Amino acid sequence: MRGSPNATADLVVVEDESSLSALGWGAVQNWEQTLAELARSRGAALKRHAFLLCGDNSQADDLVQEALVRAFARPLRVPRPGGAEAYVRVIMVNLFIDGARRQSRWRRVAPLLRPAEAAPDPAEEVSARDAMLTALRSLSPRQRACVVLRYYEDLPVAEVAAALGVSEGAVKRYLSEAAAGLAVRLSSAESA
Amino acid sequence: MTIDERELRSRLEETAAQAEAPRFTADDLAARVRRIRRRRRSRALIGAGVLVPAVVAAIAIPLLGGGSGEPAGISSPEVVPPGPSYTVTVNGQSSVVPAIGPGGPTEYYVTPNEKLTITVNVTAPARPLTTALWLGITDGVLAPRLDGPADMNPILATSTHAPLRPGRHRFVLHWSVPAQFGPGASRQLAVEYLLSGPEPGAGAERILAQFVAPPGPAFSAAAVGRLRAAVLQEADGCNDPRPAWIMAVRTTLGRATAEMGGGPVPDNASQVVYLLVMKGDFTGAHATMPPCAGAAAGRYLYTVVDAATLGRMSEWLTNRPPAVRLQALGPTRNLT
Repeated sequence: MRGSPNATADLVVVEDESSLSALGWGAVQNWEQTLAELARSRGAALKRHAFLLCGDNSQADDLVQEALVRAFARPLRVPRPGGAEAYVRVIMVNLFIDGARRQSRWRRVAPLLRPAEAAPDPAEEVSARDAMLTALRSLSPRQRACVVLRYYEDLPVAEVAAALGVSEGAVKRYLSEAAAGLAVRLSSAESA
Repeated sequence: MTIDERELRSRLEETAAQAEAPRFTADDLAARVRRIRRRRRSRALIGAGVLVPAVVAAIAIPLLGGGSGEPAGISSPEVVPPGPSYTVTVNGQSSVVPAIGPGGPTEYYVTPNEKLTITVNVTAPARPLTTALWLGITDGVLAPRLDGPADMNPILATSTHAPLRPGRHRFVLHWSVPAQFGPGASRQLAVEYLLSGPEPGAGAERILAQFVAPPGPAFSAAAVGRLRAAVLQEADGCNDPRPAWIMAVRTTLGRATAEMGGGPVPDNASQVVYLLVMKGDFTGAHATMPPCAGAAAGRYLYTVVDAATLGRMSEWLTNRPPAVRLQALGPTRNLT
């Protein structure tokens, strides 16, 4: 577990920036310190989390940056220093799901121009990492988010459900479908 | 068919460990956040006098649709109006980057010293007006400023003297790929633009194309031949000239020793090496025993070879199979 999971509880909600000091949390400029500490000390961990979601390094960088910016951009709603990481992780998951939804919608209406892809390195092709990434890509964004939150972040099912805004039953169903899908993909990749 | 939970966790850890180091910096992020906060403040001042709460709520609806991407209870933080759209042609190969939508940058493989002719057709919208525009090369870090980009080098085109009229504008750019553009390197063709409106400095930046060097071979043909000869000699010395399989992985000395039970991590842990693993019926007449092995015979023979010189560095014999998947350590090659 890499931080407290309850994003809502990790927010300080104030009506006036000047009241931040009254809450004992220092001046509003402290967000810079929290952001800097988070980016420096937990940037790599956040990137790994994003990489599992996106399966791509540059997209993972974008996802982490976007989540960090969104987490800290609202002056009246700033994450607590101790809970910022969990909050950012939840934002990342939701951004990823929203982004995937938008992409799928866009692909339906406007085929993108793409260059011919270069032939992959055979050594890379057989790697287990690629097998796992390919298997993860075969899952729906929600299934993938559930797998990452449950099995990588070790969040209980109830907290996964809270983070995604779905019921616990839905999370269990996503996890079950994801596990079955991953097993099939990984076994076929290994037998190939 | 299902997958064991423990295995799934382990595989996720392995996969996550392959993520590269973050490219962003705390300073860049702080600059972006400051800019957005500044915009919000000015927007709030304008809105407070003239807008009813219902209109404010409407603005909070994400521009692109599909939800805010934030946890429940938090509205969309930034609504940037659609800027220009682009058609990028690099040495005759075109791609479209729409003003809105997931038109991510197209990747182009380039080689050192290659001369690129890049044509960018910018379609500027009528509203809001595009008041300034910069095109240039970045190394992936976008750090916009009000007076122009701080991150582009070189800046290949600038349009700041007059707003771009609505319609299509054509920029032809020439860029030589740096001579030291080695495998794994990348650069981006980026655009930054400013838009007219009540908020000074409203605009955005985005990456239009990505230039990457083709990855170098992890195993050259010469290296494969020499590695195979070396391990077969090693296997012969350990009384099994025909091992069941031979796998090689390009990794670091630290990972090779720490994760494969080869003893304590040495000082030169970051040195690039080939770890060769063979399965067979070996006896320890030739191989040295690591502190943890304690077996005079074993089914697995591990050999570490310096990737630069292909000189043998250490070897050990054990009955334990690899503790982690070889693929988790780096690119692999079957030498059987």
